[in-house]
Amino acid sequence: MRVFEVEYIKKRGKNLFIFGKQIVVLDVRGLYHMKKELEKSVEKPDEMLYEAGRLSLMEIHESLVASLGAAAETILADRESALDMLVDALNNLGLGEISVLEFKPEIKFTVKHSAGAQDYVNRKEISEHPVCYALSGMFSGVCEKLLQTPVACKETKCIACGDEVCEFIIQNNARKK
Amino acid sequence: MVSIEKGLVVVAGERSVLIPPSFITLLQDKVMKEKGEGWRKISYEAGKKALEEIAPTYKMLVMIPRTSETSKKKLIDGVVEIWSWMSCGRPEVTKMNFKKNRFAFRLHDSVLAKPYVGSGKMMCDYFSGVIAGGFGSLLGAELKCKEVKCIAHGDEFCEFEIEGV
Repeated sequence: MRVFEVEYIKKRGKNLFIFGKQIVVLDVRGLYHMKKELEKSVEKPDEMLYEAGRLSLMEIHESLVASLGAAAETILADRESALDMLVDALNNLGLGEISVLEFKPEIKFTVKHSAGAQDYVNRKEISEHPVCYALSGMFSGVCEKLLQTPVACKETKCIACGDEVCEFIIQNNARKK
Repeated sequence: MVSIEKGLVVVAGERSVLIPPSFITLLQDKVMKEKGEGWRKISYEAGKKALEEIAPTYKMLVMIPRTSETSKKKLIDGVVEIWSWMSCGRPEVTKMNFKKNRFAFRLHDSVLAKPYVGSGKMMCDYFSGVIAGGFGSLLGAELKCKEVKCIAHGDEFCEFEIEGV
């Protein structure tokens, strides 16, 4: 069930906004090469991408709350519906086709053609481990705000490893990938 | 120019994501902590490699054969118009010298520099790489790009100088 209908992406001039916050267009190859350059140069590229994803999506969530104003508390109180709405919004960002597979006992997401991994498939590059670090961080940021408790997101399947879809599980009270 | 369907965003024929600019600046901040000024090369190379791959698609969209200087100018103008839809600032080419492969490029309201206004530093290294890779791929030349003005540095706009390697 949708909590409310909204056109998520708004255009002002040539700039794009979601919930009043400016967003930029980044080609998925930019994401891929950013990851590759980090892997060559820093100790824990996965953690960096995860944290950047987590914090940037927390900002979007804060913008959502601000845009809802006084109604935010009521609308976000039904967490399952609120998550559906947030996923609806995230599906406008080009991250892949996101679905909530389960809400209880654990939140599970699946993502078809994940933006973080699609370039691996396109390049026929097989990874030994899941690679959607930024997306994992984004899911953790969204769920941490929604559930109002620290969570971690672990990617358990990834198209870069040859799986059909990417799958993510939200775990409570831990901060690990 | 921007097409959004469930889970997929295509901009100028290329699959893209729409993300808060803070994703990039937060990442830069973390790299800065570990690598100091080394963050610049990482951002520059990522932007350059991405645009080297993407620019041919843009070139096809603009559909101008790269033969005469006028055609090249139209090609650059067409691709800069595409860039103006990226929601990352207003781009403008201010100097084009095809004989010497020297160009000047301005970006007004750079989203990557805004969070650093007052820092006194040049902060658009990712865009420098994008420009070097994009112009280089379009013109079939190895180019380098240096940011010489930046709103984070206190300038009115961000400005980039491009020249052959």
